[in-house]
Amino acid sequence: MNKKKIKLQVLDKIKELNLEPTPKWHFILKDWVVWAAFSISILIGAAAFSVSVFMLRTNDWGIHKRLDDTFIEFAFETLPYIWIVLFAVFIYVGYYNLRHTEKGYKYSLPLIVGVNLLATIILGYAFLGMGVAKRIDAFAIDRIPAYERLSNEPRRQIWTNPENGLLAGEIKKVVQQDEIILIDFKDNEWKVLIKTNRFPDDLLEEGHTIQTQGEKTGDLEFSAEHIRPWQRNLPGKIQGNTLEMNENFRPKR
Amino acid sequence: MFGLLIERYEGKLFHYIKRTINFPDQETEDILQEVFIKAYKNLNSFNPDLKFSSWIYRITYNHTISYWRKNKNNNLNLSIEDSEILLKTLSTDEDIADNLDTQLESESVREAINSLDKKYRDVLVLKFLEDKSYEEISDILKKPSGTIATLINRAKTKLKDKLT
Repeated sequence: MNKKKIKLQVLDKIKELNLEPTPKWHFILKDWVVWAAFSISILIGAAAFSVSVFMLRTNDWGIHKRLDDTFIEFAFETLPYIWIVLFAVFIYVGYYNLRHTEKGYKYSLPLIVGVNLLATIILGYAFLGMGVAKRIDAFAIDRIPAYERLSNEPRRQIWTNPENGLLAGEIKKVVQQDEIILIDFKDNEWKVLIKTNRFPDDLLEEGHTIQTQGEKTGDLEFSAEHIRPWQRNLPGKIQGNTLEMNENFRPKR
Repeated sequence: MFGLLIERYEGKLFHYIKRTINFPDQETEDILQEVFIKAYKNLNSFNPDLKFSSWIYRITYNHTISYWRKNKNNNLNLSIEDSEILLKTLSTDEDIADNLDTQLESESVREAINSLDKKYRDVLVLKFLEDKSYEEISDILKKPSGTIATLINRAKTKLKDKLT
């Protein structure tokens, strides 16, 4: 190796190409972009986590017995896969960004993933507490037809099971206080007798979509023992199979 | 000023490139020139928390590997001389000193070293030929120190298995 030659060649090339060191702000900006990308991935991951928890909490866990499903089978049918996948993807994106910060390589995989997970979960629970998850779900159902389909289609199938005591659909007509006409998701018209008075007082209105549990009493006739809104985020906080009352909820007398 | 840095590191980096990919001298000199040009352009990215040698070794390693990926027609084998130096250094390592026969034929040592995965050879070269600490190797290869320690231990075990 000719040492003198290499040094001269390098210096000549720098001079010839008029090369200058890249300004420091360029590297600072690059590091900031990585940190910003990490922060955004934490925010999106937390949002996905909060909606996943919201959907799991509001899932119709109690009805699996009516469907002759085991709890596990029912869970697999109804898990919020979109949000779980989105959560997992953004945990990875967060890991990738953190790993590519200036000193990210110094930390081990479990530490980076652990910190990332912890930050995402804490923020996710904060989102859940602030009602962000509920709003995201409602917004996506309202604005993204594909999401509405993916999110609601399995539920529509589950709730079109009158033989198993599950019926949902849109109220076509309120005949009297304890009788309605309901169009199910297969466009069948049902006469539904209401055998309960525990539901929000503005629920039984034409055009509202509801879900009922009860018993098929005849051809296109159903007796409803439990009623609640179809949308998870309409009045009442649903947990397990019970509609809990909140300030918007008053039992019918 | 930059000329002084070139003078200080060109010999070390030339050998490091040879030990990493063992290309012909002329090609290695070309890579080395490109490394210095790259280092010059990225001077402002140097973080004083890091040793300057770790920083320039990192640029060298990254550039060498990316050059190798584009020109895979050459082999990655360590030279006979470097294999012998590595064996000699390893023989003084108390973990494996008892198990290594220093009288082994150079060619079989070389074969054993060259049959190791690249990730193991990279750490062995930095630890035993370039005499870098775990912390420096971590900064050069951008891997956690714990991972470097694991890789070195596994590399030694694998080499020991191949040579005994």
